[in-house]
Amino acid sequence: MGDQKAKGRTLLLPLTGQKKSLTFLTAMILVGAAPSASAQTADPGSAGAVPGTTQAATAPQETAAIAELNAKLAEIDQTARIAVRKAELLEEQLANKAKDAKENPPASVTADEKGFGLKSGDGAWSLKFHALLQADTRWFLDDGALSDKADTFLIRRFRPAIDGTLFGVVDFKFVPDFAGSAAVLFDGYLDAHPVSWLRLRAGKFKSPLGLERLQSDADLVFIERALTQDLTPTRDIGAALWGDIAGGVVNYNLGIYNGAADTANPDLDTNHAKDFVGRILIQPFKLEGLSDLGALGLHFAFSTGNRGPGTPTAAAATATPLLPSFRSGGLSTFFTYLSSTDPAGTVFAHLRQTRINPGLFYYLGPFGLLGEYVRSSQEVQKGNVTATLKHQAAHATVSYVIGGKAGYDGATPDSRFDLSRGTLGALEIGVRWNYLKVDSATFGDAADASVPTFADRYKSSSKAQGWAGALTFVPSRTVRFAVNFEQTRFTGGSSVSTPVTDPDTGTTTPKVTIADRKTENALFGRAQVNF
Amino acid sequence: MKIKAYGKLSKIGVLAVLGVGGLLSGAVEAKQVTLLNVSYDPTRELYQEYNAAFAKYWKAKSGDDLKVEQSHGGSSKQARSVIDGLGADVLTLAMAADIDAVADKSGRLPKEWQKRLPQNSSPYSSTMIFVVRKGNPKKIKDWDDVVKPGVIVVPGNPKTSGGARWNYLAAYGYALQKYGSDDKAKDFVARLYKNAPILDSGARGITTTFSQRGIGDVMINWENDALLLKHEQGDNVELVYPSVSILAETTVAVVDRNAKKHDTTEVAKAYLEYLFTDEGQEIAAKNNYRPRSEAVLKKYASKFPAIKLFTIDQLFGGWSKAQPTHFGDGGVFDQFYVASK
Repeated sequence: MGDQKAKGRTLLLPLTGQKKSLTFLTAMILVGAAPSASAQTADPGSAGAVPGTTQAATAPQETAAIAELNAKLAEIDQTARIAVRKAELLEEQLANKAKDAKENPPASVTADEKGFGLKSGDGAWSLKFHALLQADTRWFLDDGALSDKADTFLIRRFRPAIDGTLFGVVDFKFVPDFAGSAAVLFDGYLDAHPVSWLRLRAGKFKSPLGLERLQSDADLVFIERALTQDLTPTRDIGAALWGDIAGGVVNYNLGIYNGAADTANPDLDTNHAKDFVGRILIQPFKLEGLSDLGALGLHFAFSTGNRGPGTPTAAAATATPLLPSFRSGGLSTFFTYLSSTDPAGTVFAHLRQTRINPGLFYYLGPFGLLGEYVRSSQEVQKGNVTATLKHQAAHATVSYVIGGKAGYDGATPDSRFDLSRGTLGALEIGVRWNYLKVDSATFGDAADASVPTFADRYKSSSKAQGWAGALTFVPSRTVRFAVNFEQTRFTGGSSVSTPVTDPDTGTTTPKVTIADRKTENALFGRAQVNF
Repeated sequence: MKIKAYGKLSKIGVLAVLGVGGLLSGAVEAKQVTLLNVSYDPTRELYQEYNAAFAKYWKAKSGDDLKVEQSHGGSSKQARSVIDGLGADVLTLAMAADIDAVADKSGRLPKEWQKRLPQNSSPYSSTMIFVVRKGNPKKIKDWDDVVKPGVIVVPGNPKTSGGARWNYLAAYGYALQKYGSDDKAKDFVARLYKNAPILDSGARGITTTFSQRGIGDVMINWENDALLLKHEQGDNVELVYPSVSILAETTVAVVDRNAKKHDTTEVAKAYLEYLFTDEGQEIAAKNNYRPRSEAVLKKYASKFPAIKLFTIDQLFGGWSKAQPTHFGDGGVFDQFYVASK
């Protein structure tokens, strides 16, 4: 009876959910069995009694049977309880595992339009593989002898890239380019970010000059950047402190670099002097409640630095003049400084170069506007003569994305191209105006030979300006197909020879006069994959 | 005149600076400090009371408002969480082996952590005893009764629970002393776990399985949990003290690196040191833990019957040896328990 009471008591203990049903079943067996056994004991004449036996003889046997039955029921009860508890513990285990997975997510492998990667559960460690491939074609319409570029197909960029995060506080990036005849390192840096407002980037990367330059190569409205790119370096090597303040309303960047010439992507420093480059970007619409007004960015960058501690030897300067050539939208060279096998006839960078670069962008839904101005002031030397030349360039680009959104980080389709869903991606239309003006002092004075000349006015243009139109099909962020037309008109940079007869002697000699380089009409095409 | 005016202004400025500084320093003094105590399963009630007492003490001492957050679970599982990054400032776990694991695998505290506090960093102890149902229907008196066929025992899972690990060692030590060989002791514990259809992951789970789910004839658990259950269930359960059991020394330690990161080193050390004071010992005893203080133990002598206790050092060579031998992957427990499944 003690056992039976104990079992009866334990059955009343609380259980929850579906476990109740199993234990309830057991309870029913217990409850159902006990009265039946009692009835048999109380009424030997009932259907349960064995015929021909007396009550005195059957009672002990029935008591034993009841005890045996109760023991079996107790065993069944325990078995049922154990089964229920096991299920309960299993549920707890699964719940704990789910909780653990949420709190400590496992390492993951990712494959999406942003690349292929590995990431630790807490995100402190990651490694990602990316690639940018741009297969281009260029066609120069009505091109003649003045064009130094052939109609061609080419691989414009092929840049596999690796980036990632170490310890949760250090990012790194490595980007070579295999599109040319040799592999060139474009980006190789680490970026320590203990806090969002203070980051340290060191290595080779874009210095913060050129608002369009700072856009990713894959996200540009046009296949080639505007003429402003001729007055900013492609990459430089150095270290910069930068960060976001007030949730990105203010972005600052201040760094020290080897000092790269305009358009250059150097791997070596050739002098002891360094460039100081700074930039501030203010995005007022990042303030709370203003995001509906779009994305406005006000950019101002500057740089200053010497190209050497003093006047270098002419021979060394000839080898590395540290001065750029300027190229048109079609990447044909329209301006070069004088260069000669005679060091005295070669122009090279001398001491200070200073750039200022204001700009802005504004994006609202499908509409985009990006414009900037660059002024590059460079001291140059030829022989014993020095001069400070001030070149300037500007551009304004307007874009509109049908079926998507415009942005500083490129056009994003509302829905990617998928015929089965009836979505077509986006179509970006862009128009650009741009110019580059070379300081007139560069060309000396045609009427006065004593004025120093640093470029050949008959071969180098003093100004390039033009407009361009872009049509880009963006099926997804990963793939693009673009067609551009770009017209660039030049001032100077060519010559015409006219025969002139001397009225006194009657001899005819050619007279060379300056002429404009032939207008460049270029048609570009691009197929791009970027992930 | 100008000089005088500036002089006045400068005085006002100095006073203003001092005033603001005073206000700021006052604000700094009354800072809110949060401590995370990662503990094992049955210490909920103990630390609920202790935290309140210590916060009061700390407020009086430092002026800081202290909030102690608690995390409870199977001791080894808790240690694993800290190894995986749970930011415990202090550990109050069921056994030294779990804190050793944190020290070894995470390096967040030195390996010599146990020497930093009195009593080998064990401010209170307990032992492992039996709880049976009213009337003790299976006549459980000692360890030999627990391994008899037909007895259902609830001992917990020694792979995850510190208490269950002490249970295992108590049974093993008893058999080793009584039957004289490791083989016989292994056979003894194998028979015990053959009678255990359910292995809970923590001490609280053992109590739940036995008392709330009505499973088993005998529960083996911490004396403190048994006393708590007896207090709650009254005559429905009975406590049975075996002839011999193990001295279960629970241990505490500051997790140095976490505390340094949270700037809580000072309060974390004080928090653990206070456990050894008279008030700390009194709270431990009230919550059914055997105090280290002889005076407090004497005061609560009726609560903690004197039984024969052996230590892990005496029979198993300490946790450093017992842990891998018995509970490591492929250890003695795995050998018989996995094989039986």
